[in-house]
Amino acid sequence: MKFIHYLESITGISIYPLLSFVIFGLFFLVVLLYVIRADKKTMRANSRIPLEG
Amino acid sequence: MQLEKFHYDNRIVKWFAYATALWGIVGMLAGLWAAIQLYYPASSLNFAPTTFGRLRPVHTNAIIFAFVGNCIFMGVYYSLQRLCKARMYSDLLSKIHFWGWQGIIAAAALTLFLGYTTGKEYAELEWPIDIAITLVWVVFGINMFGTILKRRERHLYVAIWFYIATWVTVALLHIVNSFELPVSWLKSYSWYAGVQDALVQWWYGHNAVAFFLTTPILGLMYYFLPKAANRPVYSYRLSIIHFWALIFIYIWAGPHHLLYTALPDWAQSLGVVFSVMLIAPSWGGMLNGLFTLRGAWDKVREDPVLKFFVVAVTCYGMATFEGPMLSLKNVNAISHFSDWTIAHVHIGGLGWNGFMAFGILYWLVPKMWGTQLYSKKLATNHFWLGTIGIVLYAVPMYWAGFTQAQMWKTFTEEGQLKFQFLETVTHIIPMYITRSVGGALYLIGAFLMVYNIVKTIRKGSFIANEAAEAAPLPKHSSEGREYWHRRLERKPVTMLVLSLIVVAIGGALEMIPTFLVKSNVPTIASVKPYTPLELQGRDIYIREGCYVCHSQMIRPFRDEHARYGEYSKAGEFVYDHPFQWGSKRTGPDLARVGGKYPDSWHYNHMLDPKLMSPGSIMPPYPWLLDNKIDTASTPAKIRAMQKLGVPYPEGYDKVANQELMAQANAIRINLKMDKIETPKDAEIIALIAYLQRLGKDIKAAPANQVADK
Repeated sequence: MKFIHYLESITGISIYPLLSFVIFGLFFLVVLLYVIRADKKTMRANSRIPLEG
Repeated sequence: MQLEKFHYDNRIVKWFAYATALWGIVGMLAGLWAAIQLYYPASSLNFAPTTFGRLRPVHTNAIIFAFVGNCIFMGVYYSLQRLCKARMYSDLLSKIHFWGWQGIIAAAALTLFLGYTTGKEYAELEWPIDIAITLVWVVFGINMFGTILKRRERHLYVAIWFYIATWVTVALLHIVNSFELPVSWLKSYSWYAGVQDALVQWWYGHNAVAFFLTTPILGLMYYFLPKAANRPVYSYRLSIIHFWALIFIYIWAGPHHLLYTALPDWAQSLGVVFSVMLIAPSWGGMLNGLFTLRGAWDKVREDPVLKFFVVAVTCYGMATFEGPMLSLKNVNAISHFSDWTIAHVHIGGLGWNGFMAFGILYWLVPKMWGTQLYSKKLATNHFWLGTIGIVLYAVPMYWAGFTQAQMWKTFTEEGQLKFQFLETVTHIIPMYITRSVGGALYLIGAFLMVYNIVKTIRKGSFIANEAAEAAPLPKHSSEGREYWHRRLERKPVTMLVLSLIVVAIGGALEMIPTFLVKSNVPTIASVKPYTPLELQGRDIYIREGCYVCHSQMIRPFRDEHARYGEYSKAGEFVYDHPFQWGSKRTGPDLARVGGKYPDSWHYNHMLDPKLMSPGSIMPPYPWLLDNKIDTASTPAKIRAMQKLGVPYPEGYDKVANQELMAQANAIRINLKMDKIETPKDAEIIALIAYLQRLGKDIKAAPANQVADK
């Protein structure tokens, strides 16, 4: 049970940080879009949940 | 619709509250004691269990998992019931969770004092305790999700998302980082070695901060701050962004603990980029907390609870501004291995975690005992003592860290290092003294709180089962079209899976290349496995917690090269299960200490460090001179190492002790020539063998081979 290195080396490692950045960027945009379009009344109602209990 | 009547379980909250206060005091006492040892080494009592190397892990584990851990459970068990309008899923599971966790804490304290440790920071506990943690965590999970599933409030409030993300991510971190091969009941070796071990450890270590000390407390902030201020959170929209951005980005930032080390460069850069980005969601959260108090600042003047929360959230903001800054390579070059890091974590620990815990306790206890706080004035005094304590703690530590780092890097005009390592230590001792005064003030404040709470409890009468009523959720509802996220907010299991995916992406992209690609962990032909004696010595090194004060990682800087030698290469650590790079240099780096001093120097130094370096603050280790090496364990250790891929020859476990004795005898004779009489099976012999091996392999390699790597 040891960790075997399956690949001798990897080409274009720079794609990793870039890929990560793009994944996050897209994800963030989707959340942002949702938040901007969210219904104001619902948001207000949700934020009051702790005060009801 | 018919309202359902039910009761909230306050008893479990009460237990966790007591545990929070108790372990808080214990953890802070351990911290203060450790802090005093740094300028008054004799306070280690010359007793193995209370030396700095063992006391410091007791302090960190007690604060993180006992104090903050119990605080999290206290807050979750209180708020989750109310946010779900339902009693906890099972009183029995609550009980098992509580006693299981306290049992783990007791076992942790005992084993750490006795020197049973995996040698990986904040994950020091040995494998049976690791398994117990997993089981109790599962119990907590079942109880939490059971409650969420039987809730009477359709929408999952943002605090619950933070709880869910915490649960799933801590489970992931704990399991991945705790892969270890048991050698005996209380001894195991990390499955990973060297660079890989370091990467996994700091992926874990960083995210222990993120998902144990931050996200659950943010969840608590989103509940208790609006409660205490009696107004809703400033922006619910912002809280959604805060949540997703925070859990997504946090997981990537681990490598910033390993800048300038032998970790591949691209992984370091990845860590830096995400660390810098982390400031956005963190500050979003802080501002959301502070703005909640808009128009209510007059209440802050009156209410000690809000005072604590305001400073806590401010400290969160400070620490999360500093974090990204510290992860910039040029800043990290100065801060890393110095007391700057200690200052940084204590802004988080004392300010954010501690003050949140105090605020919640002051708010909860009167509520659950149906009375008013015994003394607001006393609580306000606690607040001021604590705040002054934090300042008195942090400022000297920043000063000490910066000063020492500068002294390390100072050269004379002739191009020589200007200061001996020891000079840089003795120079900052006044800072260490001031720091412990700050810590003591903070601790006195905590005692005031305990007194105040006891008095409040005496005054009120405990409401074990708090009556409540709410309408049940309709089985089916069709509200027409709705946003995907809105639907998601009603589906806790989907939320769990999505959180897991979000954190797993970061973890996987960060670690897979280091595990799968050979060229990322280059090997050096001259680096050989440890001899059996050195292996035993290494285990003693780990047991005594030497890594707490000594690094084994020379960064590629001019001063480190001049002081310690050739910078460390990834290939040098391929047999290090676990890695011992360390994170703080209270003492000098040991990566290339092998061959630097004669055996007798080490012998005398362990007997009393002041003999060899007057003014040293290292505690003496006289028991190493008397204890016998545990040779019975050698074959099992060799076999374990073989399983992990260390290339000892077949059947080596049978001859290992023979070789061990031969090497030990050579050291004994060597010591005898310096007029030191010692049995060859004393632990000191094994430790000397290990220390004399450190960093030597690479010197035997042809120059071009090392340079290539």
